[in-house]
Parts: sequence; C-alpha cells; structure tokens
Amino acid sequence: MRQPLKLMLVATALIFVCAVGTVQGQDQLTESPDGPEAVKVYYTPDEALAKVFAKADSLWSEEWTPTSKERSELENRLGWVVAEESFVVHRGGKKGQDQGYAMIMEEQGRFKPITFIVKLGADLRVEMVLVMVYRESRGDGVKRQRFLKQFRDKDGSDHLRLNRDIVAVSGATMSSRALASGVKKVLAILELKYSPTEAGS
Amino acid sequence: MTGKQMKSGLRRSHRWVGGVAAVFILLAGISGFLLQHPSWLGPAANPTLAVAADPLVPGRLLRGNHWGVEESTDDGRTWREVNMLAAPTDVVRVIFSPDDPLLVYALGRYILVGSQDGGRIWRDIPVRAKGFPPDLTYLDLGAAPGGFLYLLTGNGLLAGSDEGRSWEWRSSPDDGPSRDWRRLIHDLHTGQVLGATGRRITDIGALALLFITVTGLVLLRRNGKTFRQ
Repeated sequence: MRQPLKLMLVATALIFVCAVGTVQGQDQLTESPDGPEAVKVYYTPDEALAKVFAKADSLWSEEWTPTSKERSELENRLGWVVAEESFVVHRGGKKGQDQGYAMIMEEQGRFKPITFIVKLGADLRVEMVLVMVYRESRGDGVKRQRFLKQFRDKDGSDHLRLNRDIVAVSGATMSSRALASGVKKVLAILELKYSPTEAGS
Repeated sequence: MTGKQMKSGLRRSHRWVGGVAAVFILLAGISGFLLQHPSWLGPAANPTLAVAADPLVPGRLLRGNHWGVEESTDDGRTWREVNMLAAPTDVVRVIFSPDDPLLVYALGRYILVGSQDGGRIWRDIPVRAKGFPPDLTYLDLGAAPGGFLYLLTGNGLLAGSDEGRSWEWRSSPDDGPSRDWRRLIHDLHTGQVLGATGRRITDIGALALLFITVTGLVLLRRNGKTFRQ
C-alpha cells in the first residue's frame, strides 16, 4: 500500500519540478527572445518539390514580377502590404498534363520566419502544405498534417481566418497565423496569375 | 458513545462527504476536459472590445473584437469585416494617429497592425525591444503626436518612436513578478506543462477520474456496500 503512495508522491514532485523548470526557462528566454536559433529542416527545396510533384515527369519554374496594377490588385484582395518584388512559381507536368503549381514561401512566425511549400492542383485548389524549415524553439506543432490538412481543397474564395476557418495549434498561434496567411497569399497570387477568369478580365 | 457507534457514524459521514466531493470532482473533470478542447463548445461570443471614429469620414467607425476588425460606414448601424491577410485576434484597441488621420493601428493580444490608408491595406508592426519575453501579451495602445506609440504589455510599458519602427521599455520588464505562478498552476491543471503529451495524459486522467467518480456514485446508491467490505 505504501509503495504506490511513494510512487505517486515522487511523480507529483517530478511534475512540479518540471513545471518550475519550464517557467524558469521562460525567464532565461527573457534575456534573448529570439534565443539561439533552433533550425529544424524537414525538407530541402528539392525534397519538397519531389514530394509535392511526386507524379510529375517534368518540373520547371516561372518567375512572376507583378506590374504595379497587379500588385495593387493583389494588395486589395489580401488587405495587406505585399513586400515581395517577384514570386517564383514551380510547375509540374506529366505527359503534357498540367500537374499544378507550388510556391515556397517564408512567413514570419513569432520571432523567426517559417519556410513552407504550398502545392495547388491545376484547378487552383490546395493539395498539400509542408513545413520545410522551422526555426523557433517551440510551436513546431504546425508541421503536423493534423494541422496542415485543414488547408486541403481550399481555394481563393476561402477566407482561412484563424480559429474560424482554420483551427490554430494550441501554443503555436503565431506560427499557425503565419501558415494560414502564407497559404492565403499563395492562393491569391496564383489565382491572379493563372486563373482563366482573371486572364480573361 | 461506543467505539462501534463512532466507527459507524464516521463511516456514514465519510460516505456522504465522499458523495458530495464526487460532485466537485465531476465538475472539475468535465470543465478541465472542456478547457482542453474549447472548439467543442462551439463559436465563442464575440463582443466589441474597442471602437474608434474616423476623424476624416463622418459616420465611419472601426471596431475591434475577438476575430479582428470590423468597419461601419453608417454610424455603427451595420458592420462588415475588414479584409486582412493576417488579422489580429482579440483586438482591444483601434486608434487613429493624431498626426495623420489616415494612419490607423489595431492592437491584438499578440499582434500590432497598422494601415497608412485609413484601414484598407494593413501590415504587421513588429514590436522588438531588449528583454522582450517570448510570450508577451499586449494590453493597450496609445498614440501621441510626433509618431510616438505607447504599448502597455503584460510585462510593462513600451514606447515606440517613428510610428513603431523602434521600441524601448519605459518600465522595465523586470518590474513585474519574475514567475507567473497563475500560468504555472493553469499549465499544471491542464497538463500543458508537459506539452501535447501532457495534455493527452491529463485527458486520460480526467476520463479516469470521471469513470471512478461515476462508478463510485453508482456503488454509493447500493447502500454503500463497498464501504463496509
């Protein structure tokens, strides 16, 4: 009878020590919020492109520099300043068939940028999102497909608002926000550039 | 009173106090479980947290709420969501610059955004200062002539110059309590102290507590036979 009691006491004490340690760890981070960079590379650009265009037999890239009118249109759609001068769009084909589009994006998380790839099908709907590089010490739950799957099948008409359309990862709100806004930006860019209705207008 | 009577009275009171305590355990278990999964409770209420009147356009208002910023052009009768790529959540302050009425700021719990065209196109305003803690929460914002901003945070007051391009502490972040005990207790209660695994362990613990409490109550109804065994 005393043995389980001792075990319970030891477990409670351990949890408490861990908790205090966590809070003290936060105090140490106060000295340098960006902290030592904890870079975790999950995919290199080549690996990410190979994964998202797994079925493609040819890959190529196109660079798009929007005109001032296009930039203004993009900013109006997003309600947000677009800082990038130009965008690189990766494309894939299989036996002459369009395999869709992919963009490698970098969006600011809490302190550091997150690099990720967004793959859209030929119908301009999201097929896959992968986190390629995560640089912060915590919050990397956004790399999990449980979170990233939420973007599948979304298109330019979806708002992708955090905690309404996309459920943020608990404890990684800023990283979730970065991913959601990055995907939304990709959808707006590719729709503006490649949508047949846009091209016709 | 004999020893036997005392024992019997103690047993009876133990049973009933145990029954009452079980209700509290049930409440704590269920509420703790729901704390872990807030999305199960459906959409949260969305009260207005801040409002600001456009100094240039009569009848135009901006208001902040849990989901972002909304705009009214008919003196607050109807509202529509302001389009933003990365809208801040829990917007506690919307403020027009006293220097330039086209400059408008919206302060969320972790994010400060600004617009230079009265609220059409927005951008993040990064707040960086020495000793900036990782989980800093923003509480309020003031704008003063000359492009000065004052940001009240959970750790002290930050002063921003040049429309928020540079920041420095006015009251030191070390002035506040060095250890957030409330958060520690909350994290212990919800298991968040051990991250995602801790939350799963707490879920299992809460379910186990609920199970033994419910079964205990069922057994209690059977004349407390278990207590006599």
